[in-house]
Amino acid sequence: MIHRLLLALGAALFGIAGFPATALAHGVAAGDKGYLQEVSGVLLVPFVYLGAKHMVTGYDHLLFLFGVIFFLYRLKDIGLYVTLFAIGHSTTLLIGVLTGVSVSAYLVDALIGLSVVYKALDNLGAFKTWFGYQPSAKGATLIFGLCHGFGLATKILDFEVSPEGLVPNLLAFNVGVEIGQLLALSAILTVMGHWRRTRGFERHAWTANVALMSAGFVLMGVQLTGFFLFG
Amino acid sequence: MIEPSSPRRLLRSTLIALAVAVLLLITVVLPAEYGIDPTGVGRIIGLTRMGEIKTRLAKEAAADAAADAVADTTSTPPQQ
Repeated sequence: MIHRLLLALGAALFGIAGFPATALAHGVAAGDKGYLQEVSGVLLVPFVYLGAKHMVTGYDHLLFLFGVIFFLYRLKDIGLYVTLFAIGHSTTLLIGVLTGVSVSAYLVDALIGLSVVYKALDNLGAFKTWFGYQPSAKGATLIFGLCHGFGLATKILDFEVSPEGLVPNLLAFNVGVEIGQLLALSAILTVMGHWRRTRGFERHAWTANVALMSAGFVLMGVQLTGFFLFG
Repeated sequence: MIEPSSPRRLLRSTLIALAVAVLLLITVVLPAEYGIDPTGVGRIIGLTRMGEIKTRLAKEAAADAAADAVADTTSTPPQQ
């Protein structure tokens, strides 16, 4: 009982703290939250839908994925990296929601911005150029996957969903996230496939990753400012 | 990964990326999201007002939620 009260209170506080950040970064309509507060029990299809919607409309996740697959050409590699990312974010999504442990949504979203900056720098060969050392791209994808999962967990906590049927609903949300990821990836890969065949891709690739890094810096700046303003 | 280039070019590109981000943040994003407008550009292009309204609404929503939470924990269920 006390545990549930604390969980609810934590979720409520989180909703307050995370309101502007989540409204900004993820664009999930207030309508979804309202719906989830009205209903309870196992709702597989609605949660699959919400997971997919969150991924497809969550440009921070999409920017990171764009960076990850930028120089992946073989389908096998794409599958491997996307699986690593999925393992990472599924883990923290489940742990984050089930334990009710959550950090500030602003900090998590700032970390997601950092992941975009990191991947852009990695694509530009920055670590090799500056430090003469290439960190594992697979390890980074897994670790940043864990960060993105915390972002997803804060989203679910922000929804203040009923504890009834929570576990199946979370699994359904996760399935939705993967579906959304596949949808977004097929769109990105279609465009990238054409782009790669154009002349001057090498030159454009440099500019594109500098732009990606800039977008990551903007995400970090807006989330860190939010954190210092609203905690 | 792009073939490692000169550290100089990389540093220049990184600094450009950072400068563009800071410029966008202080003239557009921070005015529009939080009503923070250090340059005055946000006011001129009409974004600061958006940020001020959003910040006020967020504070009101937070105050409402806090009031509701207090009401929930202090109120006793109605007696028969």
